[in-house]
Amino acid sequence: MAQGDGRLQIERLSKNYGGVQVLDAVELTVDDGEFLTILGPSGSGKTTILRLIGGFTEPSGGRITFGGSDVTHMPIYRRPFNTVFQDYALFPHMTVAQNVAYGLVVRGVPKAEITPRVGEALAVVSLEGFMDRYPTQLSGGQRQRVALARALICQPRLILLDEPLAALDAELRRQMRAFLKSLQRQLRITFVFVTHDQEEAISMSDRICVINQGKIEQIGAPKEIYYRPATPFVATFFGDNNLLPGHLHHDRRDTANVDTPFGKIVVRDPRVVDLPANAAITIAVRPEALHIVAASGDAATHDNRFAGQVLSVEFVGATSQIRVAAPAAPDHPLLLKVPSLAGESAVRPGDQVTVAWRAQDCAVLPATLV
Amino acid sequence: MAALSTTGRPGHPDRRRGWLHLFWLATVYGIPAILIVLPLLTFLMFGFWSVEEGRILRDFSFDNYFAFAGNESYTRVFTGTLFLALRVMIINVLLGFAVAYFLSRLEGRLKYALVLGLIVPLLMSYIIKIYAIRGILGTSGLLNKLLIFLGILSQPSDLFLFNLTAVLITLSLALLPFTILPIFIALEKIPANYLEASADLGATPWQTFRRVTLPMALPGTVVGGMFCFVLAVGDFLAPELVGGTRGFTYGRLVFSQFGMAFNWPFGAALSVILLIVSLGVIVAAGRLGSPKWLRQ
Repeated sequence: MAQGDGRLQIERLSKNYGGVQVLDAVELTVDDGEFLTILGPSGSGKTTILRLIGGFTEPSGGRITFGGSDVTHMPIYRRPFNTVFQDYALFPHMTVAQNVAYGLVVRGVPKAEITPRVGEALAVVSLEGFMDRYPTQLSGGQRQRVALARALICQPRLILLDEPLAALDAELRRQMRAFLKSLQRQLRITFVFVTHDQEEAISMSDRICVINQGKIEQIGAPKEIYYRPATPFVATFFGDNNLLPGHLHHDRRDTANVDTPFGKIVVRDPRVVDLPANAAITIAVRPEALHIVAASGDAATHDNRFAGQVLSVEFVGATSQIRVAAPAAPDHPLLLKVPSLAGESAVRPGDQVTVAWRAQDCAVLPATLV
Repeated sequence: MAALSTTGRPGHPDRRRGWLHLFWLATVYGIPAILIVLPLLTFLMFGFWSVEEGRILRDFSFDNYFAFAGNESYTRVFTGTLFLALRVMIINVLLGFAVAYFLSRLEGRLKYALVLGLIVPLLMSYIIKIYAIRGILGTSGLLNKLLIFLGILSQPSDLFLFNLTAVLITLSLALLPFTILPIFIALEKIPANYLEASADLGATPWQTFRRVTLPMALPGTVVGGMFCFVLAVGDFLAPELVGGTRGFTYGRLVFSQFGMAFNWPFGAALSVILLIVSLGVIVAAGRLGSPKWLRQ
């Protein structure tokens, strides 16, 4: 294995199962020491990417290289990667210590060396006292940590994690998230993490790769993906978004006017520069970026505003979700999320309100709604 | 209603449930008691009696057991049969594991079609199966014809019929499905995940087989071997039909006591010895077949 450069490179990777295209020419680069999350709905092909990297499945086309050398057809047991499986796949006939030692035992590491290393690996996941237990005697969270220790002991350059938190309860999942992130920083191991949970992806990753129907929709830092989604799919899969169809009118460099059913909307997005004039686009606006303002309010702080009627108000705890429809576009009610503060004068269905937002809160998607 | 019944007063419905409960208890314990335990006890009792001039003497004694232990021709048949059953078991465990492993690696319809093919002989009459095998083993049988065709033999051999080898081959063939099926089920139950995890941790296919597949299939393999041994050690039909005079086994010895020799007490004592051996094997298999990790 090449030292230093532990970059994983995936080139035009494809996979079909019996004529069904599961992955379509996927291009992806994971840097050494990066925490990359592959995020997508079930059936999107995210687990297939992981299985192809791990060597559990043969690709139908394309190439995978690691540190410059081709690993596309390398047998699983020779790859310098280790996997944490979704259901942990701990060997039921082995104790915790035997499970963790497995990777060293099969490589012929001397016994005298194995025992201290098993202790160290279990210390990392705080399970020192559990050596002689069998997997069935552990809780879900403990099994998860054993699976992690078992992968770490092999000192891999890259760890593949297949929805490792899916089977844990909410509180444990939050704890494990922080633990995994700090572990990854500490050990500087590349993590390729597969999940369908966008909150998990945002809170842990250096970069996120959003995948849908076997194709990569967008790769970028969590904030980039959140604020500047590239496609309508990313915009709606990643939290809530209001999508407005429109036509672009170039104005200044990164600021433009867009004709929409709501009238002219001012948008500010660097990506506008690359788009042709009069291009059909979609504007994405986050519900929390929309505000209800006084009808005679200060126009300077809000570039866009429209008058509409409140359709519904839903109290969901920290926020209230309000739907407002403009008379000009009754088919496109906008969703607002406003903080639920006690004593605040409540908006009621049927009220006439003015909704306003800033130009920089509009993301311009160079694509139309399908 | 619910609040009343929780006080536990023996009301009318409770009493009816009581009778029903008794009926079930009687069925569950009574039928095995009458059909299994009672005959066994009868046998045990017979074993302590003796026969004189064609009449059964009901005097308690261990004479039958001493007679068995003191007669070398009996003990030789006994140990010979134990070794025969052991050999059948070893052959079938090795062969059965290979077949079961091969089957478990197949995919789709072919796999289950072949498994069904294994089950079909189990539904056939045992005697018919043995006669079929006897036809194959005889001097003009399929086996001899094949060996001559392949040039291994120049003329038909009578090595395959009416001796212990014939009994060995017949029992192995007839009992093979009993060995394959538990091993196959054990192999099928191993999730693919474990094999993938093993390879992922750096184990070669052989290491994965030895460290994951084999130990996880061990309980099923022990059960398969046990079936095979217990069925082989007590069998008298196969030796009777293909064993000839040289293929004498313990099962035939027992059988002859109830037939020609007309010594039911001695036959019963021999059966009790066989029963103890079989029970011992079953207990040992139970121990071996449930390792610590399965009992957790």
